[in-house]
Amino acid sequence: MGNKKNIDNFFQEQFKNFEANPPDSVWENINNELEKDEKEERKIVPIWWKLSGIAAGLLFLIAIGVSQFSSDDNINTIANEDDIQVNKRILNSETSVVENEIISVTNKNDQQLNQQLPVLNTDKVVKLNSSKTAIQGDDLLVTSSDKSKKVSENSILSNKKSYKDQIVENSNNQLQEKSKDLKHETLSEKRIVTTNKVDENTKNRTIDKQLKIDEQLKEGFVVNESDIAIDKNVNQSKYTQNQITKLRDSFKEELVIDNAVVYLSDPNSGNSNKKAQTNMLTADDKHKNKHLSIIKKDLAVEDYKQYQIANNQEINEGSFIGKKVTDNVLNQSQDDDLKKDLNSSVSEVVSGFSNTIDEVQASLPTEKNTADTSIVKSTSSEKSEGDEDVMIENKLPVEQTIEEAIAEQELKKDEDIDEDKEEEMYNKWKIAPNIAPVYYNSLTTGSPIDGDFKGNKKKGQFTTSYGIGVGYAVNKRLSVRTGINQLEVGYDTQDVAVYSSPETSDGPKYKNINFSSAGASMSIAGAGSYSENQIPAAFSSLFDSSLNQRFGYLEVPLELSYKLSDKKLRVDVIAGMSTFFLNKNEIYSENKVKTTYIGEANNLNKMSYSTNLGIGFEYKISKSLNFNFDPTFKYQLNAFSNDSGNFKPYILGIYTGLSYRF
Amino acid sequence: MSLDQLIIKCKKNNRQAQGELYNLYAKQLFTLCLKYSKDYAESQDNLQDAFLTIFKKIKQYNNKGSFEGWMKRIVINTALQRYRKSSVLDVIKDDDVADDFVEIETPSVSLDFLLEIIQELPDKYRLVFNLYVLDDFSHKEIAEMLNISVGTSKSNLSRARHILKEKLETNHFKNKQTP
Repeated sequence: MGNKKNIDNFFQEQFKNFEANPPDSVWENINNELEKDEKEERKIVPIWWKLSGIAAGLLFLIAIGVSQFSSDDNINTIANEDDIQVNKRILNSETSVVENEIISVTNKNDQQLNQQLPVLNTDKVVKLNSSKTAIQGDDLLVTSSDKSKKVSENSILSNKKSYKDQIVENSNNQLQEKSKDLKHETLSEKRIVTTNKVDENTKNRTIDKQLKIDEQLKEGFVVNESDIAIDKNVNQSKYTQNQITKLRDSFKEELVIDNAVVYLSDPNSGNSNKKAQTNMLTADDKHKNKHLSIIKKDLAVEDYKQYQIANNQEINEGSFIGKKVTDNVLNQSQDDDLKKDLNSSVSEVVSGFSNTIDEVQASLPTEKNTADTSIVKSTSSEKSEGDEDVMIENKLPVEQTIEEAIAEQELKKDEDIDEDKEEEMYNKWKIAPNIAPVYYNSLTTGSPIDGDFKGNKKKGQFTTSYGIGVGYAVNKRLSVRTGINQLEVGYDTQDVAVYSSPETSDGPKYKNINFSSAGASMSIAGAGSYSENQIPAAFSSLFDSSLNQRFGYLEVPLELSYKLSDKKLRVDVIAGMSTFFLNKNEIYSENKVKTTYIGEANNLNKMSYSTNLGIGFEYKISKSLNFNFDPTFKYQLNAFSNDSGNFKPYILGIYTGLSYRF
Repeated sequence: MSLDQLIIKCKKNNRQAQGELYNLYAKQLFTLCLKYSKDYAESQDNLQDAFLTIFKKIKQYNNKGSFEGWMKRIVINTALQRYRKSSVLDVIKDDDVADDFVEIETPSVSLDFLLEIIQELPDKYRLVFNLYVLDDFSHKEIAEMLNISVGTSKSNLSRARHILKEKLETNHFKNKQTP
């Protein structure tokens, strides 16, 4: 009688050791459900892998293609093996070299010369220029070491300038166009691939879809991803796979987002609903909220279903069609807050995507469920290993290239936070193949060859540099860049007299030149080596050659880049230095009639440095692909060991190319 | 296999691991279901749904806090979901009833009976009773979970207690009387 107890304690004690066995059927049902889910996933994952593989392959090809254009190999289409040397020079757009190549000296004694002399095959010239210029092939000098040559002085003269310019222009254009074409080609290939894949999938999908919807309804999860992507009328390119991916990650669940209404619509219906729901998906900055409201709608639908169950109403899928569901649910809902919520933005309710679905489901739309600590909050930075349990149908918008989708998928691992948080995450690495027209000249009027030539007219040449760069972002604004470039520069000293003398010349020999055997039989004189009186007027026309220096470097730049602004066009200030390794060193004498290889300069340092200053412009093409345009001024510090007259060279280049950030 | 290893395998959807996890915890969680549901059938459904949810969401569990507690919470939520949108939880607002101290004589009753009378409670009372008494949630937490006011939670609890006491006493009396 006397044992009075608090009822709470009583129950607590009684239930302390209470255990009951569930019937076996429970596990059977669970197992079946899991099996079903797995089968769904198996269908989806391979498709993704296939697409990823294809896209990765294509991307790789593009990267190769772009870098190839900067290198010599692409010329093979124009050249045959004999003339690879030639074509190198052509496509490097060394105009004066090309110019020289028109002319060649033919002479049995000059066998060696010929080998060293770049030669031009008419056919190839024509091919090269076929689309752009109107060069008459026959007018050009043709030589190969086997063929005979023609010299047509007049035509050469008249064509000389235009030919040169056209060659330059043409080469540049061709290169540009080729890279453009390649890109278009590959992209369109990809598009085709995408479309095909998508089409295949569509067929299977419609069959499975009905089943899926049934299952999903049973499970109480609203899972869907619309196939609206296949509908080409729906342009959702702005609302991209990227957003889907991000949300997917955030929720780590199959609750998807866009196009929930399509799910809710009759699966056999036409496009009518799809149009309706595209209107739902509008401004980027509201998409999150929209998504949430859709999810809440889903929850509301679920609740409505439960309500129907509770009230012994038959769940009529037809009643889920389109907007009706919202109205029905609203009408049935006793919760004013839900009504409010469905009609307005939901930003105040669930902040961000850092709540687990559990919490979202655990809370009514107006509920703030924060008290519980035993549920682990899943932050959106959490990375799930494998997406096996993500039940997503694989649909890619046709508008979007695989390249973008894959780039985004790859970025998913690094960048799985919504765009608001981009501040904290950014692409650290950048790979940038580039090509640059380069102008070489000196800040002063000295001569790199000899003081004698100080007074001569000199001319810097436009040449090409190509290479690849790598950048690493130390922080949001500052990056370190390096890379490797192959650079050729040219510099002409004009008004030089070059004449051959049968025996060793008694003219001035220039110590800075290592003469080739052919060159050794030449004499060079600059006007400066004679006083005016010494040169009779008749002979002044002899000073009609120019000494053309052509040298090449392998350049390794090391630069810092500081971001000034970053809208659609990113502007950086670039400063640093480069190390140059000499890998080509040639001097030619050139006049109207012939070009002769004289030798090489011996006052060129094998290794030299420059200080660099430039501005980098970067235009964002896609999430990780950019177009770069970096005019840079590089002042060479010690290119020449022996200045021979105050020669202070610099290189001015406009480095352009595509870059890939990841 | 340790629990941690099991969890890791379950995260990878290893069916065997999932089965083992089920075997480990099914009893305990089923008990929980029984207390929250209004009948056996509903308990089964709840358990099923809860485990499916657990297996789906196990990836989000990152070893913070007790795994058991995490699972329990899922079970409770699954159970509560059924009652969420119905207005059954709204009680006509009473005066705030203070936590009253309900005493009973300790009857000797079977667990089955206790379970029975709990399940017989009106949903609103049963949920609150379970959450407060058997699972140690505070009124504040209950209020948030069920979207009711703290006062409603308290009064529901009080009502539940009284009903249970009544039933116990009736039963006790009945038993006494039976020869």
